[in-house]
Amino acid sequence: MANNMIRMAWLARHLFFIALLLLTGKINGQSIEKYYTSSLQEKGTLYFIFPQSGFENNKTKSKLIYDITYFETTDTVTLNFSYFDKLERTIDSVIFVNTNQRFSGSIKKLFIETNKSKWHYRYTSKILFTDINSFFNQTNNPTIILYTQQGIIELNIKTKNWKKQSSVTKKILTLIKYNQ
Amino acid sequence: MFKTIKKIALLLSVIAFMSSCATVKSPLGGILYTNVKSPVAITGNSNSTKVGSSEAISVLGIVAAGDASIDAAAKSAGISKIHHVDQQSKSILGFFAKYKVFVYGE
Repeated sequence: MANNMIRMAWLARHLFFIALLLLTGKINGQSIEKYYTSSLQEKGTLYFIFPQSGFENNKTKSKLIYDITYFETTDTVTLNFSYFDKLERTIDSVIFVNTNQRFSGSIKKLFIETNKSKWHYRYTSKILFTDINSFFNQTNNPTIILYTQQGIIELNIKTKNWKKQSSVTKKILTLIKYNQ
Repeated sequence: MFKTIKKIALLLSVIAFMSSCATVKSPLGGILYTNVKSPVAITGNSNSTKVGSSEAISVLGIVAAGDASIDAAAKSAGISKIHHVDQQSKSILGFFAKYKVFVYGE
């Protein structure tokens, strides 16, 4: 009888710890492996955060997809973005706006193509690692503003989408910082 | 009762027919799940500071679309000198498959 009680207590304790581990994993364990890749180079590690979408303008039905590349030895990240719009535009600059932050990066055109009925504008920009890190550390929804010769386009992201996107990117950027 | 069994059998056979249709090029493949990263090519160029990606998807093996070419990946990051190329193959139950190409260079 006593043996059975001890065995039950032992089992209950183990089950409790397994449940606790699973729960902790679920709370903190946003899997980031599928969102980035890294490559060891001669002078450091090269990180690539896969293309992320979600920034849209409901009026113009335009959208923006971006990816981030970071080479360990530099203090800037390369943010490449694709902007899809029905109208012909000449993009002059891009501004990232969040609660306590507003920054821009120099942009350079990579190419312009047509994609079905839309124009595909592909640009690259250099942004300070510290700026992009604090941008993804904000919990409020940010806005990306494109200044074009044809007008200003504000691109917003839905809260649910931003929560997931910012938590994943924040974790990858933290991992990069720890490995520097 | 017989009709219900017949319907279930028909549904299962449709699912079985449709699954394992969306296949993806990969050095290793799993029936239930595949997520494999592997090399494609390496060149004599010495350095890479840029990464570009391109992808193509297949749904149920019925629809497949995308541009997973090396050219598209290199172009997306403005790469003119390629250092090496990797690929990533993903598939879930044969319902959905994704093929990605990563180009490293400068």
